[in-house]
Amino acid sequence: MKIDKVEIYGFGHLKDVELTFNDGINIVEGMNEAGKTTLMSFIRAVLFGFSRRGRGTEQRYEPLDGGQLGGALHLTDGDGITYRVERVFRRRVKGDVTVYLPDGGSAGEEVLSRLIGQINEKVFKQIFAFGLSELQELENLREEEINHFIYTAGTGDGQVIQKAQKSLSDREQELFKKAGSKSIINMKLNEIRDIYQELQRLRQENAEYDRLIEELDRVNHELERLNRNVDEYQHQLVWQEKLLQQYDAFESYLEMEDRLQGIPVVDDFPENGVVRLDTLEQNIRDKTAELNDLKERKDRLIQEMQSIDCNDNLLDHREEIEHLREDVNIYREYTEQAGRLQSDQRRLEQKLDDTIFRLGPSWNRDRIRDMDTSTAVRKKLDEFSRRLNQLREQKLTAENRRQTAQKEVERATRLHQDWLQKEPSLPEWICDRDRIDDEAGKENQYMETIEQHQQGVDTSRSLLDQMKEIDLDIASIEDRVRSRTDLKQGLMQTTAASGEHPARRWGSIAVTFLFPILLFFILESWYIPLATFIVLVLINWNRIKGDNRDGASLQLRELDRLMKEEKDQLELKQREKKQVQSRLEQLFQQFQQNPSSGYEQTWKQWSLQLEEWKEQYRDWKDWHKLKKEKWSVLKEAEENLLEANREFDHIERTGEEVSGEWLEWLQQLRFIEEKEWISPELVQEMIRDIEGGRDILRRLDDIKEEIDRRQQFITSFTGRLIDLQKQTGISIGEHQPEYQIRHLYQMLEDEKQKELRIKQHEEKSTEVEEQIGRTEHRIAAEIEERNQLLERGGAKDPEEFRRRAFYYEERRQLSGKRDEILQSFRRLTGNDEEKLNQFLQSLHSSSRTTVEEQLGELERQLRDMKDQLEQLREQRVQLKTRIDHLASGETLSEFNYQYHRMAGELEEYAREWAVTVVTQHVMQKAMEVYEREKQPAVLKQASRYLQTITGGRYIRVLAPLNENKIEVERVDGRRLEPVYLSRGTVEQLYLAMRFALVEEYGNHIILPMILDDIFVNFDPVRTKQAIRAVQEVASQRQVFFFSCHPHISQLFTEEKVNYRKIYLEGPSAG
Amino acid sequence: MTHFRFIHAADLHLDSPFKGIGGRTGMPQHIYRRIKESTFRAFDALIQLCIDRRADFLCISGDVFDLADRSLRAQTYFQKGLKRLDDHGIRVYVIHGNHDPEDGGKASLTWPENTTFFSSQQVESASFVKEGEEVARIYGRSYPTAKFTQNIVEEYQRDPDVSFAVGLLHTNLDGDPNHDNYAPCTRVQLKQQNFDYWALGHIHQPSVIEEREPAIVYAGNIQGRSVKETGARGCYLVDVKNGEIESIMFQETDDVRWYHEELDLTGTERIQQVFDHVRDYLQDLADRSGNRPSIVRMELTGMTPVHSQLTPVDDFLEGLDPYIEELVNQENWVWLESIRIRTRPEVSREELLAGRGFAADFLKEVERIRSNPEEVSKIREEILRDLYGHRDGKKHLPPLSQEDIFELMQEVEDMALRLFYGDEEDAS
Repeated sequence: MKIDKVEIYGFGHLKDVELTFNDGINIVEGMNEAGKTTLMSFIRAVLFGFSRRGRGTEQRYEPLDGGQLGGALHLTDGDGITYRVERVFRRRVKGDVTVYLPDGGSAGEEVLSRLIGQINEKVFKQIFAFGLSELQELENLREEEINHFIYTAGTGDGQVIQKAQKSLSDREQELFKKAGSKSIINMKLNEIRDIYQELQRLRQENAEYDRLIEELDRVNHELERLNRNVDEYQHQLVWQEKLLQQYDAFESYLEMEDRLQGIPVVDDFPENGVVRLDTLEQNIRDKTAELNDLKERKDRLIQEMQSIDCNDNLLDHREEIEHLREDVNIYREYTEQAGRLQSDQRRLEQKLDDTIFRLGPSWNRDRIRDMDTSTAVRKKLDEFSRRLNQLREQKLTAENRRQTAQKEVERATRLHQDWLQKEPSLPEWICDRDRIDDEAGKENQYMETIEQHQQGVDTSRSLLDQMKEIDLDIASIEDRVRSRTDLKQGLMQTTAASGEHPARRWGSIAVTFLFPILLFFILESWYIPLATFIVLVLINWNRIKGDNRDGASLQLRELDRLMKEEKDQLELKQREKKQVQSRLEQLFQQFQQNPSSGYEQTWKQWSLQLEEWKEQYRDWKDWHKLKKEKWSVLKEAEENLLEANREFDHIERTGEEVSGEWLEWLQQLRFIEEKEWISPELVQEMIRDIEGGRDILRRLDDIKEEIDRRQQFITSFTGRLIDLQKQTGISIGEHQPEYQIRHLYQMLEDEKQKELRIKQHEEKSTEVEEQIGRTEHRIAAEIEERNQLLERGGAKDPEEFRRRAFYYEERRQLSGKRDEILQSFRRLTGNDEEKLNQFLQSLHSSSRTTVEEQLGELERQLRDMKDQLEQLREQRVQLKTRIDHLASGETLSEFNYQYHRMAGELEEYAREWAVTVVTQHVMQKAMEVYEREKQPAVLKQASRYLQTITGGRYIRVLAPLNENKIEVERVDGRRLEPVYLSRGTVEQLYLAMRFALVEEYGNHIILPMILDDIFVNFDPVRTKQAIRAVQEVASQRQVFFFSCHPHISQLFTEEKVNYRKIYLEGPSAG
Repeated sequence: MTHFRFIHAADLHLDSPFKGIGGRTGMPQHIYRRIKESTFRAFDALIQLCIDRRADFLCISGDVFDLADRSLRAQTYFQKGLKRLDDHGIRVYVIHGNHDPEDGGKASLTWPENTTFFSSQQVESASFVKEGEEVARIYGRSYPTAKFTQNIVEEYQRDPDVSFAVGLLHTNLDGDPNHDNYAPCTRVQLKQQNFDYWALGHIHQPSVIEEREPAIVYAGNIQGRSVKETGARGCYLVDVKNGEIESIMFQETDDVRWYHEELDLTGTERIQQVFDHVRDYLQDLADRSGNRPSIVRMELTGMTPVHSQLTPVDDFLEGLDPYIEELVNQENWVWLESIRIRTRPEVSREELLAGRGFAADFLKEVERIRSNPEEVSKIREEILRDLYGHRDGKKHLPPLSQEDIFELMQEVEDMALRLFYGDEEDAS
């Protein structure tokens, strides 16, 4: 790739610069600040992008004068195809690249990247485009880093690799140290070791499980064996205990056997034979005794019955006696009541007598009984009483009213009289002229007169006004006549002298016109003068017009005519006045008014008088009205009095009528014998007495009847009692009937008792008879049964029977006891005959003491075994708990999980560690490859170039493997490290190495080299030699040599090296 | 005529711990507990399934527990489960596998009547009788010892009068190199034995290898226990009618589900988007897991400018935590076991290889190591010896396999790119 042309739009101070370059060497010469370094930066920038502002030593080169940052490079690639690569700053900091292809198309970064062989900016800067500073950078490197530099220079990744190596190594250390303990993995390993140990322990513990199970089995087995032993011992123990327990029983068994031997055998015997025989014999005895008793009793009863005596007569009258006994109470009661009733009767008789006495001598019991006191009578009586009272009240009211009316009449009369005295006076003319007594007539007359006067006054007033008007007319006509006379005289005097009037008129006219003009000039405005003018014209119009009048002669004629007319008028008016005056006087005369003091005055007096009359009339009219009222009040009062008197009379008459009626009614009813006054209240009282008397009469009748009834009963009762005594023949003597009856009844009761007893005895004796029969029958039956029993017992008599019975019973009891004992033995031995025999045998053979000893021994042994059993059980429980704990325990599982978790964690870290380690390993390998395969070629080339530049003084560049250093070999074979070389030589060495690297890169990509004034520290000879090296390099690629020293280009020329020189103007030169 | 139903399960591994859940510190207690109990809960689910689905018998093809763990709880728990089945009249046929071999130190427990453990000496058979008629005969042999490498298929001889023959075998079929090659056999061998159903165990991935004549089935384990055992885990429910298999249905029993997911972040430009993606992805997983918690290992891949912000991974997780906190705490939680950053900066590997930079040399070197077995074993045996050969490291770290080294090299490559280009991103 080569650069044909540079187009700078704007870059640092370079603006709109275009430079073309050749193949081979291009020397760009310029003074300081001409822009050489800027140009180099520009090329770098187009290829790799603009730098960021303020990053390190690099600049961004924004155009100083503003404008577009960027430009273009015209490039030709190895195949001779040309491209225009433009990079301008739009948005991206690095700038935007457009690669214009020869076919007119365009592309971006990827094509550019391909054009420059994908090398990165660092490599480009280190190897292809460098200045003195980059060249000298190596000086500061430490020896061990030199090899690294070569590597770095060759790859461009130096720092990254260093950084990567460091961070990897750091991380590796952090993760794991072979002999360390604090790194992450080391710590994890320690932790996991602990957990693992614990896990193993737990596993071992769980492995014990089977041993524990075995142990448990053993214990179980032992337990089983022991249990069996215990059972057996327990069995024996029980056997021995049984023997011991049954020893007493066994002894009595033997005794039973012995006794049985000595009793004769009775095979069969009736069940309970002796008891039954005893019972039968006893029964026979008892029944026989019973029979004798019964017979005796029967005899006694018959005896007793015969001894009872009985009165039949009394019993026959049983009913009568009982009746009397029932009635005796009534008798007693009636006797008492009769006495009481008689005293009541006496008392009532007394009371009745009192009543009759109260009513009066004419009254007796019959009259009282016959007196009508029915409700109708009472009602009538009430009515009379009411009516009489009413009348009395009415009479009182009427009396009252009459007196009041009388008083009223007296008062009204008095008031009327008084008022008549108070009549006011009336004008005399009324009384004089008419003498009318009649009030109404007087009033009418009076009113008429006043009205007439009023008319007169009104008419005279209008006449007076008329006259006054006429007087005024006359005066005005006379006035006019006077003025016309004056005018006529005036006219006649001024007919000759005619100037004055026109002069004044013309003056007015002049003023009318001139004043506005003047105003116009004064005010310099036209409308005020115009208004003034109009006003003046209006004012003077008459004057202006007036000048058209006729002459004065004409006026005089006219004036005479008018004066004559007015004189006529005056005469007419004066006539008229006289007429009015005569009418007025006539009127005054008619009403007797004397107009001597002048019409007006007269009229005034008249009208005043009229007012006074009117006043008097009003007063009189008021009095008259009241007088009428008082009169009517009086009349009314008198009327009332008359009415009251009439009413009072009427009431009195009615009263008398009612009283007559009342007395008549009383007589009719026979309340009174004669007609004498008696008040209804008294009558009422009498009625009450009469009724009281009648009541007593009735009660007396009742009592009498009662007494009679009782007397009747008493008499009959006594008769019955006497009859009874006669009939029964029993005399009790002179006693009270009650006593007699009680006595009789008592006697009757006794008789009844006797009768009853006889009856009872009869019944009993029949009963006893029956019992005797039954008992005899039973005795026979019992005797039969006894004989049969004796027969069954194989005995002839009871004695033998009893003996046999005793034998039988004895045998039965003994053998029963013996069997019982045997049975209990059998039960103990489990119903096993053999065992039973064994048991009996044991009992026969051993004594009580030996059995007791054996028992004690067994018990002791058993106790021991049980203790042992308890221990084993304890052991078993412990084992089981342990086993259960192991079987359900989660600790092992927990640790197992933890272990695996830890292992997982460890694995992850181990993995990271592995990656770190292997990455470092691979990096090392990659670097070794470079050193081994690429570095030798580079060093060979570098040796050649160094030889050229130093003129053969230094012949080789060496980089021993694994030694991280560079050495040079002098022509004398001495190897030197860079530190021992001169500054220039060191620079030459590094230049040579760069040339070599460029060559090495040439296998991959050919790029132009840019050398920025790098010969500064070279001596002239070495410079020339270096130029030759440059020439060699340039044979394969484009080389740009920037310099501010003109002698450099001179040297190129001297060395006959072809180059194109481009002179770069300084900024000051423009 | 005759119908019966059985359940085929295997590899219960009761109470054996989850592998590789230690990748992240700070696992909440409730998650830890649930994980710890998950094998038991899965076993409960299996028992419940037998009862609910009225299975006639249950076959367990080995590895009921890891005897090496010495967990008595596992054994007693198993015993209790069997008793429950006994109560429901369900028979159980069990063989022992390489994790619970005859000589593995099994605790002496009394097993219920319904359970048949097959002998470790030779193949035995047991009749399954339903309604007075033998409807199936089950054949099986337990491992006498853990490392039992004998091919025992020949021993499985069907008796002439058997209406339905089931073979219980704990085996590595066709010698899968990813698994221990115990009791190996081949598909062809199995087919020759004229059985109806081969109930296999050992391989944890459930699979129906042959549908019928004979059915060859790996039940898989009932609960996934490491990131390598992802997806649904359970057992097979087999219905047989008139001596013919009617259906073989997979039934889930896992209590916690594992996921190993890859999330491509290509096109993601901001770290916020990454958080959102991860959260959404995990939420989606939670929804997919069907009412059970999940454990997820996530690999972030793809070329993305946020690449450099994803490391160190601990910092990234710290940033992510608030977004997934809710998922961690919900009833059916999702636990992000670990997150692996496999993203790359936006430079292509090819481009880098073509360049002359150090990266090219580095990548070439990685390539070289990968293709050179000597180099690989050198890394394994020399470079990583310090830790992996360490006294404790050897004990507690799993040995590195060929595959592990390849994976490691991939990570090395990623690491290098991150180191070389991580800063580049900032600088540009």
